Amino acid sequence: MNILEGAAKTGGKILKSSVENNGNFLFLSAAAGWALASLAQTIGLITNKEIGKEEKKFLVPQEILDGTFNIATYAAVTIPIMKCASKMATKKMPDNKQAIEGARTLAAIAGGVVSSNIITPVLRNKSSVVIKKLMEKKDLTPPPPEIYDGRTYPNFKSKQPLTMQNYINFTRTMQNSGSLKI
Amino acid sequence: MKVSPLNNYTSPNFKGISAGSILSKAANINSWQQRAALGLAAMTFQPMIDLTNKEVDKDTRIVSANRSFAKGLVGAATGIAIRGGCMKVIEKAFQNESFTEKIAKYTAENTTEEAINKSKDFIKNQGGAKKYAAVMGTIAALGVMLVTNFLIDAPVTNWLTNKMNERYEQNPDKDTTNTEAAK
Repeated sequence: MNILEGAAKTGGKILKSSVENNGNFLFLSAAAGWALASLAQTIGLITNKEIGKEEKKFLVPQEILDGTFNIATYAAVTIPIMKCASKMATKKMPDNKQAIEGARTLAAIAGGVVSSNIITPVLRNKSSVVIKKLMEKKDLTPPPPEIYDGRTYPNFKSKQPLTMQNYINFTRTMQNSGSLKI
Repeated sequence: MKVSPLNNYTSPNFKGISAGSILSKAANINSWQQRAALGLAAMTFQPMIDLTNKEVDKDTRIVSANRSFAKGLVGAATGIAIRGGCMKVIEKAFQNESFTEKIAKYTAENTTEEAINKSKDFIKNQGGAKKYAAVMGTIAALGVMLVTNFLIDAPVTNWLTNKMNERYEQNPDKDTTNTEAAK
């Protein structure tokens, strides 16, 4: 009973703090959503019996790295923007706490827009080429698209050129990649 | 042009639009509104990035942009609906006196009756119920969306992408929205 009471008290504190620091809450909840989606992808990959052990050795770390990279980019872009917005608002209107929090909130959203919609897609396009080459170098057989929903480019092998149909197959494997997913 | 004194009249309730008032309102933006902003940006920027990717051919660029647009639209629609729904449900729960009392107790500064009453007043009379519901609803929505991400987002995105691709395949030259930008 004491544990439950303690958990409720901690929950109450977190709730109050989240309401008072809306910018931080929006930033953290977006990052948490991203982390949970990546976790689900990774678990789906690990538990998929139709993907070989050797392939999993490559695909699972890649999936984890991909998720970590996305969140790191989001944080690296958003935190400085939030700090900057907070400083500027504090300088202009030091007594208006609500306005300062508003500036932080808008900065959290702006950071999400820049990182998830501009930086991540551009970097993903570049990194996918490297990943494809690495898989080919290790001579791994990519799993068929209908059983793998990860983020590599399983259809783009030298025997399967970059055609429209291959791309359609490929996009079917990209169920949840890119942007803030949930 | 002369302006009559009557036209110069401003209501005493009108406080003007200032950066401070806009930012103060922005402090109340909740997660479904954040998701709407991100979704709108995703539907705009990501297809543009795909359409200007010179490493792939024109058809691939268009299919890729269709996919990005569909993903942005479906992800935003489910994200907004689920977040908004969870928030509404929790806001309704605050109509229950016992629930409100519990939240007031655990969010109070301390355990004194005065602090708890102050907390209750915040919930009932100062928009606290809506603010707490926004936070609690967001957390609940994250859990719900772990499931709906696979059950709704993925299949609906595929269906919409295929529909857009079929339309393009039937009329590749008439799809001016994409082809012009993809050149």
